[in-house]
Amino acid sequence: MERTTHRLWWPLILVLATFTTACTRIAPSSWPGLRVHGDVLYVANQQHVYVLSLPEGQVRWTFPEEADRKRTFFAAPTLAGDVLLVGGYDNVLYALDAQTGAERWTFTQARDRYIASPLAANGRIYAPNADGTLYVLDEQGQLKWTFVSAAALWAQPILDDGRLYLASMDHTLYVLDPESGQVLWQTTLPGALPAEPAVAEDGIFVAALAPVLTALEPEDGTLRWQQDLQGWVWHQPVVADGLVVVADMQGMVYAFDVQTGEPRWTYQAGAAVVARPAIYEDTLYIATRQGDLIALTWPEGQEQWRRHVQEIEEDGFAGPILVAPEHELLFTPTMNSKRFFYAWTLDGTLRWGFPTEQ
Amino acid sequence: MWTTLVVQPMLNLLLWIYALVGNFGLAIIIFTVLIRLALYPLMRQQTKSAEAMQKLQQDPRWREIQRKYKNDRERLAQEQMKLYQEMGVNPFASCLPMLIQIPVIFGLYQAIILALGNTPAQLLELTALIYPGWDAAQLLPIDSRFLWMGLSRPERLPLPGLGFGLPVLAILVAYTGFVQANAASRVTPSGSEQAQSMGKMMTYYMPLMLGYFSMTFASGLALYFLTSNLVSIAQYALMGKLSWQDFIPFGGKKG
Repeated sequence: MERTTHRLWWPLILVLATFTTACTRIAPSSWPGLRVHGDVLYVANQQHVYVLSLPEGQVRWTFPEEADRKRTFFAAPTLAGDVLLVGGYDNVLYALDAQTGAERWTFTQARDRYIASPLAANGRIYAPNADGTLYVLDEQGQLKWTFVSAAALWAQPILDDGRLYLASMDHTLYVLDPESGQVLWQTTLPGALPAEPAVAEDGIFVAALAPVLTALEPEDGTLRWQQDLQGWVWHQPVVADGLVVVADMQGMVYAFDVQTGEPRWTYQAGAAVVARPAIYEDTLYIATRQGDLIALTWPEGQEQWRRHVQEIEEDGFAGPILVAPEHELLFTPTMNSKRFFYAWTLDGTLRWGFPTEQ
Repeated sequence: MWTTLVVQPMLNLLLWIYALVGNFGLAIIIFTVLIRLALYPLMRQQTKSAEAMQKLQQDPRWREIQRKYKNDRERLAQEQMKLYQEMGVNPFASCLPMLIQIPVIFGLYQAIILALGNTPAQLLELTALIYPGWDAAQLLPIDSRFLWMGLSRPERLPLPGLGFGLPVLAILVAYTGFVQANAASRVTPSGSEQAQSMGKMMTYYMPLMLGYFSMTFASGLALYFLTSNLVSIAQYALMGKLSWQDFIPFGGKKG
């Protein structure tokens, strides 16, 4: 009879165990979204938006003050005047007072999470959502128009020269009139687009979840050149000094001539790269998924130094590397749930991690 | 190890079906049916063992030792074991097939949710698990729309005049869960009053719990629950273990 009782309990235990293992593992997650403005570093990660003072990283305020498990944030906050715009995984776009964190208004019409950061420009807020819709609001949070793509939008739009560039997970780069939302041109790429394109004088450079880098003409999206890569690319390409740089999931870093697409050099980082590299002065910084921060000479691509962070090597780095030149710091977001990011000096000395205490 | 041996093959099978049919909802249904069919021999064996156990529990000798040694658990266990041997019943035979199914069920959940790749971290994990040599770039992201649902989000059917959506899938999961649990209880050996009342609780709580999960988690998972329940009901019907009374959630009489 004891056995019978146990037999009846075990399905319940099974279901609970399944959901505590399988479902906690699949909780919505991403890497932190970081943004630097002057002496302030804005960080969105898990249940809080943190506003930190630089260079030491003291917390000025957090939003919300008390963690609420229904609200999580991963998209990098956007500063629009005295308002901080933050998209949540609770489908809500929050406009906060940038000084105090007080809530000014919210936009609640989206049907899915905000994975992309909003763009604030010319009195408009362009907020892409994972429901596939670009919501365009005025500065008071009133909806002006929408644009719908066939799949989720994970990338921040880019406004350049009267064109709004919108990368979609439906494999399409849309170029819109920023006032009306009318499609000026669109082009289909070999894979989903989780990051924004690089928009430069020399062209539009688009990386995708496909082993290809594509260069397009800004006027009409005509294909300029396409280069095969070894792996998929998760980040926005980086353009400087006539070169375009991408790093792929096979750990390969490539520098191509922006005009011709000719490869100038390649470098094997030793592990997959998700994080967008950063160029500052004569250094190119690469962060890998095995916890390595690597400095290459720019534009030659020779390894200068390599730092390894043991405590996050299982999760690694992801998300764009940020440089704060006035503080001579660079920030590397991680996929570690306890240490969100690290602050480094430009020569590779680890200054601090955040949160400072674990 | 777990991921490589269980989750990864299932995930790739699911993606392969998706690539074939081009609809993720349909892929989940086909995938679930295939897995349940593969597990059918185990279910059949489990049912047979449970029937043997039921028969044993109706034997007068079983009742006698229950009465005689009700205050001596150690002796009771010894006598029960003797009777098992005499009647050629393996008390664990009905549990073993279930135990074998556990990793499969775990793997199923994880494969479905991983395939949806809703967030950057999930998609990153998914891409690392796709077998090489496959043009997954064309396949991803999965189009998670199915009927009125977005399979990556909890399901709600918006009805005209109502200010809120109705969780139709969750209701169906809970209802079919009741039917399945009623049919399952028909082949579960009865025990003490306590065990029987526990059994009744399970019959009602399990479907309610699955209904709650269906209402809260991605509807892709709810679609799996519903398909799985329907397949189980069909299997019980094929084995002649389904009665119309099983379709009445609170009034079904056990056979």
